[in-house]
Amino acid sequence: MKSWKLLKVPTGSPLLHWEPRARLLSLLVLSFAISLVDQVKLLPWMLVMTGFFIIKSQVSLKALLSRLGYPSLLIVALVGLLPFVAEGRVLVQWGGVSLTREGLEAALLIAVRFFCIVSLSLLFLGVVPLLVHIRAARSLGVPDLITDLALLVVRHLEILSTDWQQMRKAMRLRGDAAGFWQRLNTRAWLLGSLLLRSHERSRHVYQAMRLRGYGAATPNPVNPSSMTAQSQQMTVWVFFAALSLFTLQFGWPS
Amino acid sequence: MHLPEGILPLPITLGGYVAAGLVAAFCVRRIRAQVDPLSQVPQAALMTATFFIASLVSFPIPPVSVHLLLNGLLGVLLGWFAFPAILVGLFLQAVMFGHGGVTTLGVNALLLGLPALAAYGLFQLRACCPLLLTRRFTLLLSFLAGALAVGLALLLFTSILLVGLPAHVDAALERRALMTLILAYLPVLFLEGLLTAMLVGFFLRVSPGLIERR
Repeated sequence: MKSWKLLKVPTGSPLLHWEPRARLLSLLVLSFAISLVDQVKLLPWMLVMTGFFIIKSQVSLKALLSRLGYPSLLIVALVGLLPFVAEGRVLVQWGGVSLTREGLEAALLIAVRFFCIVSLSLLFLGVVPLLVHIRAARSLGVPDLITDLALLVVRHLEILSTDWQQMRKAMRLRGDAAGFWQRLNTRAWLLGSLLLRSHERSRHVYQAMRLRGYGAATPNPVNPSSMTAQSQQMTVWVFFAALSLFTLQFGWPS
Repeated sequence: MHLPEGILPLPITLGGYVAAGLVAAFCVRRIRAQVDPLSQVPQAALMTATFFIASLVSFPIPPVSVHLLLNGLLGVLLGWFAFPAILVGLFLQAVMFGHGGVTTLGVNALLLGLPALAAYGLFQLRACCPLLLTRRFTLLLSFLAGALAVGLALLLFTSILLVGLPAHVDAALERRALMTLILAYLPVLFLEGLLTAMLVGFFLRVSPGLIERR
């Protein structure tokens, strides 16, 4: 099965040796702490903090930025428009278009929060195989029904996309149907056949997994002493980063 | 129609996590109450993978770009499994592509998952009256379920955005932008209804067991 590892890091990177459950919880805590921030004054600190984890991870900045491309597309339009459509103190005016201070601040807040959370998600989750996170979620108490589902989905993704490409190619070679409605109907039937075929296959795979004892063992409880020194260090760094954001957000003089 | 990171304030994202957790727990309880709950896991996984792939493929309807949601189809085919399936699909999309997000996972699961459960409820109307268990009525219900799920998701999406966007955005402009988005998704609403009906029709012919046990 494909590992779906998104980023490569050197073997010495502390991110590789981070206990999976601590890694997942740390990401959640830090992401929520970042989404708590609504003061522009704290943005440089958020960027420094994210930069610290990027340096600590030893990941190539080029690789990280290339991974940020796709998710950024979704937010670029909003961030680009916000300074011009918000009401407030006008900073610059060109004809009917005015750039407002409030709009600029809101756009900056959204952009930096987005960049920090997505970068940290990629760093924390993208350097180890996806299956590690699914197992970690299971041992954190997520029902096995959901984690089994996630494991099978990961397996299906490869099979489904390969089969779909093959079926579409075969349809094209046979001349495919002309006209929108005919094509829609053909696509629906094609998708139906694909689902049926894969359903049978997936049922057998799942039964084989159950027969081999998958899901029978109860997960070990969290044991902090089993965490390596590197793991503990990373968790403490994240805890301090989240705490600093929380303190600065609520303790900053207005 | 995924809310990305950074837009929503903490109370909404955190509230979304709690609410999504509660709905997921309720669905898991309903699934476990069934005779052989694990037997449906393969089908649910398959549909989740389809949902995953379909919602990554966007097509332009100027000035925005839209993508298939398939949450209605998931509701019709998976029943109570639809919500956990959407939750898993969104988690994987967030981790693998940054589509959606880690903090917005709960909110996104609610805005796609609750309409899927509504679609399931609508499709279950067939069970109320045995006389209505005809192929034509089933197809009509499938179409309505597929379209309803997209419509409800759109409604939830715009409501959350209206609450979550910064307060000083020009209200009239905000409404106009959201209206553009709604208009862009209207063809998707129709298309998804049609696709759901076509797929249900296909399963009724080829493997009716997949539909009948719902």
